[in-house]
Order: sequence, then structure tokens, then C-alpha cells
Amino acid sequence: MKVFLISVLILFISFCESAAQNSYRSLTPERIYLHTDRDVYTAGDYLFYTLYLQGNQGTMSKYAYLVLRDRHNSLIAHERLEIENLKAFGSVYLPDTLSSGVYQIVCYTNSMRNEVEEVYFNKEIVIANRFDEQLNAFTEPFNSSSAVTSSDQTSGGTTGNENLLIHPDKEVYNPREKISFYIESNSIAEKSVAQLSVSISEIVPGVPAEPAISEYFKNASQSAYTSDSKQNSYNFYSEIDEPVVQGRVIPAAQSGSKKDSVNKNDAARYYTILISSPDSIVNMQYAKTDSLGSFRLLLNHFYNGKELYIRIKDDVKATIVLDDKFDLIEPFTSSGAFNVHGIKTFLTRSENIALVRRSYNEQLVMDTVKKFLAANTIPRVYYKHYSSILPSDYVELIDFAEISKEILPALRIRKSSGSFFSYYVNIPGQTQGSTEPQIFLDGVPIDDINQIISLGSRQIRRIETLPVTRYYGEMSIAGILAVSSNGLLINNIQFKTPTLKCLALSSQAYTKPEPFIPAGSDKRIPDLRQVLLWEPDIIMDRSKELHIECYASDLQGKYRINIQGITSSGDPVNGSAIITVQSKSN
Amino acid sequence: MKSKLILIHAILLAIAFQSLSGQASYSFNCNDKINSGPYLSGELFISAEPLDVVTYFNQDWLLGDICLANGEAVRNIYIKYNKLLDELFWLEPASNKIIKLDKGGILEFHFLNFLGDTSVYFKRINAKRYALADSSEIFGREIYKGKLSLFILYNFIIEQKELAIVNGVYCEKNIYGEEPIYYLQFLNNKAVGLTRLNRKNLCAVFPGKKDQIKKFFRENRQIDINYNPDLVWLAQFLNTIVTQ
Repeated sequence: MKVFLISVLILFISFCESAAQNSYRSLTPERIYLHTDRDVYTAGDYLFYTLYLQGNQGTMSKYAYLVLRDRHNSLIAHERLEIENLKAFGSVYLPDTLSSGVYQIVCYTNSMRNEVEEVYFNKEIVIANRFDEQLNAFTEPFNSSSAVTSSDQTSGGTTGNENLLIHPDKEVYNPREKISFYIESNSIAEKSVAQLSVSISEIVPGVPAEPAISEYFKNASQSAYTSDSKQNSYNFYSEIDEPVVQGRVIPAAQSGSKKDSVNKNDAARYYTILISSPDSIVNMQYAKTDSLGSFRLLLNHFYNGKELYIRIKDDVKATIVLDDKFDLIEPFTSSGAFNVHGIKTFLTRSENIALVRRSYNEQLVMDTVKKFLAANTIPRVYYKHYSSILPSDYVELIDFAEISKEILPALRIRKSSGSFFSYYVNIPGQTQGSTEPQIFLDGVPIDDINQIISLGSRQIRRIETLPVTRYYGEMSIAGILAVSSNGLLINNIQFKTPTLKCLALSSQAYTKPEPFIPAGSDKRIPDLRQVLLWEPDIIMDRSKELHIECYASDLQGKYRINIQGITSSGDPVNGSAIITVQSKSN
Repeated sequence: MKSKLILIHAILLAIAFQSLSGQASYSFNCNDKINSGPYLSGELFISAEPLDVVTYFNQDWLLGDICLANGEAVRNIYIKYNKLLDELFWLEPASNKIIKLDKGGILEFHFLNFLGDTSVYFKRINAKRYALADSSEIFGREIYKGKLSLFILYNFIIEQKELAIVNGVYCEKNIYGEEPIYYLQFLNNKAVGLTRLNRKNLCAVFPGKKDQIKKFFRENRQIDINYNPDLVWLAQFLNTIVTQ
């Protein structure tokens, strides 16, 4: 009997465990794929990309982060991308001054940062400086037989796992001839559409084609790693709707010798972190630190791209350390995929093409499809003030003590031991003179009245008062005094409490190049485009064939039509084909 | 036998521990939420004299949702609406204090369950409360939403005053009488206030539709505007005749 009972118990527990594990597994980790217009660039070019996200429907990140770094791990560019319908697209300018070499693009979401960096999407690209004739950053193998093998690989039409069929009207085109092809697919589910990005770019001889989105997601979904706790100092949150700002308050004493004992004492201390931006409207968000001093909040869209003042409300000696979303721990080591036979020749040719195009003053025309502007949804601390006073309506007063005495009847300022203290009289629920109101200068909370006591009528545009006990969420405030200055004097304020000034991230606009129109181009000017087409935002319906047209350039060679995409149900789709451009005489 | 039992117990403990730790890490990843707003803004409410309970729409604190003017929503909080002051109060959970919320910061609020009714919505509208006053922001209870929306403002008038003893002191107590104002709001957000939703008033608002209005009232003599379904019925009819 006992043995039976125990067996039942074991069975029950193992059932519970497997159920728990199953529900955990059902949350597939997010994965990113980035399709770029090509692999080889010249400094001064734009890199165009389309980012695809795969994850759990309904809880997917809205933001992704793109980092471009060199072999010394210096950031060349970093962008926040806003994902809509599982994708984002845009461009990155590659500065003219970049040295020739292999660079790495890394893409990830905030929730992916909980895993090891190996799961981030990364891709190597080559950037050649057009004045670099030696190209010493690249080495070519002495034995050219290996290069031939890899070259053969790239000449194939497909890269495996292809579920989009591309039908070009012909295989060989003349320079400047219209290229026309259509795409068909049976893998797009009914009532589903596919979002595609299409590139037609010159093939770099010997360099293997990058893995397609289907292959990449298939391999990536099989690998899920949780990060070593020593690597990450935070638990990173999914940014499903608003971006997350997180950081840590490190008390100044922690740097002392008795580190461990201080840590234990500070663990019990909770700080209030205030975030606001200079504005004519008083705005604020706040969060409380946890027992480890970490804080996190969902940043209102109003703050996108705005200057932020992040400060501790409490008077403590501490430092605020913000989480840097572009901080990568693993160094970039080149795979050597571009050290192939003939790469220098190709790069030299690309440099010469860039020089010629420059001399003809060819300018890329950018089409901005969508901009992500800061929202008007201001996190207002109050909606109605009791009185609004314009000091310019009165006789000039030299400082704020005078102003409060003459034109702010509810506010009292007293001086004691060389410093000033302000309070509202007769605030219900408060002991008179015990607590200073929350003072805002240009919409930003400041420490106390001493920071604005020297401001006179000339410096102040408007004063709003709320001489009542206010609540903002759970935060109780003994009245509000809001001062708007003439000329953003908040920038001159020296804060007593730890304060961090930074710029909130904003999302990159969706951009793409204007399509090439041959009728508008002068035939005497050579057409030396190495990318014949980059279209990052095409929607394909299952029931219809998708027809695409573009024009060949004067550059002869092999070009790859590379299509990557994702369906609305999150399934990756891709296809490729090779076409050739050669002159009639050939 | 003993060693077998110990072994079985050890296995059981190990399995239980493993499954618990798995669940713990799962909850850490999924349920650790960020608590940083949205924030309700308002002021501490301290009334010089206690408000008459009859002036409250809901005498007990009820759970409700609030849509804020900045597009955010605060859910499942205890709220109370006072009809006399036309103000919404929030029971702040940390301090247990009553906060009078900023009217300008609220777009609408919703009682999740008001005496079994889950469809009680109040919306902030801009309308004239008194004939000779300017327009002001009021909380109107949304009865019908359409081309022509119908709101009720639970207005009070002092019907009489009577002497009462409060804490052993004689004082004058107001006896309130409810006199609702009905607001018809058009798509351009202009609202017309009517103290009575009768044939005469409606004909004045829609002078070109007098015949239809008269016909409606003639055919529906039993209509009772104090009964919500009848009000909805009337609003539906008005929506059929309104042209915008």
C-alpha cells in the first residue's frame, strides 16, 4: 500500500514538473534577422536594412537595437529601431572617414539581452575607404583553389530552404535594360500576407551567400541560452509597448574599503528616482529602487529623443548608473569570410566606382516613409493650477524672496543659517512650515528654493502655484511651485542630489532609397550602381504573383536577387536567383 | 527497508525541489512587472463638513478603470463619484487617503460593477452647466454613444434646509433634490443641455424634425426618461433623425 502511494506521489510530482516545463518552453525566445542591401560598401555609402523579428505573438518587443562596430569594438553607429508588423527598416550612414576593414552589425531586443550575446543577430560587412589603395586589412589565400570552390558555391541559384520562387524574364540582361521578375509562393498560409525585402546586388566573388532567414531562424530557435548572471547586472524586460529605462543607484560609500558591510546596510534603502524633461509643462515619471538599488520604468513616448534629467529625490551621496543598451560585452572577432581570393580586386573596383560616382556628383535621394516622433501624451504632474503669475505684470523684483513676499501670497520664504526654506501656509493635512513644496524649474523638479532664490522678475516668465497637498500616483507632495524661466535656466542649475543628464533614445525613421528612374538620367553619365534594387517594404499576397521591375546598370557582372521576408503568422520566407548583366558585344 | 524509504524520500525531495526551482525561475522571467505609472494626479480631499451620502453616485468604494487624458489607463482602483461636487475620488491604496482627482487629467471612468451593472461609464465633456455661465468640464454619465450621444449630469438643487444636531451643535443641513441635466452631444463635440427630455424641448433642438418627434412621443406615450432602457430607446430614435 505504502509503495503504491509513494509511486502515485512520484508520478504526480513528475507530472507537475513536466507541465511547468512545457509551459515554459511554449515561450519561444525572440530572434532577429537582418537583411542588408549588400555585403560590401564603400565609406560614404548608406547601408540599407530590413529587420525581422520572430517570437511570441502578442508579447513581442516593439524595439530592437542595432550596433555597427569595427574590429576594435568601437561603435560606428547605434540605432533604436521601432518594429511594426514584425519588421523595421531603415538606413545607416557609413562615414566617409571609416578605414577599410571588416565591420560587424549586431541586432537584438532588450529581452534577448537576458541570453548570451551569441544569440544576437550578427553579420559581417566589408567597408572600403576609397582612398585606401593597399587594402592591408584584407589577406588573400595563396592557394586559389579554395576560392574557386567557394566561388562555385555562390554561383548557385539557391541558398537552401527556399520557399519563394523567383522567375526572371531572362537570365542575361544588357546594360540599362529593364529587369522584370515575379515571385510566387505556396508556403504563405491562407489569410496571411508576407512582408518582403528585395535586394539585387552585385555578387562578391568567393564570398559565400549569407544564411537565409528560414535557415537562420531554424538554427536560432534550436539554440536558447540563458545568460550567466555574472555577465548581466540587470534582468532585462521586454519592451512590448514603451521603452524601458533601467539603472542602478550605487551609494558613494560602496567604493570604500568596507564594501560588503556597506552593501548590506544600503540594501534596505529604497530611493525614488525622478525623470523629467525641460518643458513649459511640468512633467515627471518616477520609480522606486528595489533592495539592490536597481530601478526600471517604462518611459513615456513623450520623452522620445528628449533631454532627460534623472535624479534621486532623496538627499544621498550616490551615483546613478544607467543601463547602456548598446553595450556589448563579447568582443568582435572577424570570421575571415571575406579573406578570399579576388576580394582586393573587387574592393579596388568598388573604390574606383565610388570615385567616379563622386566625380559625377551622384546623390542618393532618400525617401522617408515614416518618422517616429515624440508623443503628445505628456505625463503631467497637475492639470489645473490655483494661480498663474506673470512677474512681468508687476514692478521689477530683484530675487525670488522679493517675488514671494510681494506677489506670491501663499508662499513663505524664511532664511536660516544662510540658506532659504520655502513653504505654503495653511496647507490642509500638513504641519505648517515643516515641508518644502516640490519646486519645478522649466518643468524639471529641483532640490529646493535656494537653487532659484537669485532669480528675479527678469529671469522668470511665469509662476504657477498649487498650495495644497498633491498626489501624483502614490507620491505625496506638500504643494507645488512651478517656475518657467526666460531661456531654460534649468541648464545652469547645480543639483545637490545625484543627477544624471542624458538624451532619451528615439527610434530611427523608416527610410529607403528612391527607386532608380532611367528616363530621368543622362545617358552620357555612367550608371555605376552596384545595387540595382533595394525595396525593404513589399507586401505579398498568397493569391497573387508579385511582379517587380528595376533596371540594370552599366556594370557588367553577376547579380543576386535576394528576397527575405516573414509572413503575418511569423513564418520566414526567402528566395534567391542569379542574373547576369553583360554588353551586347559579349 | 529503512534505507529504501530514505532513498525514496530523497528522490521525492529532489524532484519536488527541481520542479519548484523551475517554476521560480519562470515566474522571475514573466511576472516581475515594472511599476512606474501611469500616475493619477489629484489633491488630498479634506472637506470642511462631511458630504451627504446621498450625493454620492456610489456610496461605497467601487473598483473602476480610468482612461487618462494622455491616453494611458489606470485599472482596478477604488473610486467614488460625487454627484454634488461633480468630482471623482480615488482611495489611494498606500496611504488610504481620499484624493480628489484632477478632472482635466481624466477622459472617462468606468465602474466595473455598479449594482450588477457593468456598463456604467462617465465621460468628461465640455458643456454649459448653467444657462448664464460659460462652458465647463463636467463628468456626464454616458447613456448612449452614436452620431448623437446622450449624457446625464446628476445635478442637485437645495430643496430645503433643516436644523440638525451634529456633534452636539445645531447646524443647518441642506436637503438636496436631484435635478439631472441631459446633454445631447453632436459629433462636433458641441453639447446641448436639457433639463427635461420632453417633446417640446426636443422640438426646439431639432426644429426641422418636429413631426417625427411628435409622432414618436404619440406612439410611445409610456416612455419614462427616469428608466435607462427608455432613455437608450429615445437616444436611438434621435440618432435616426439627426443629420450632421
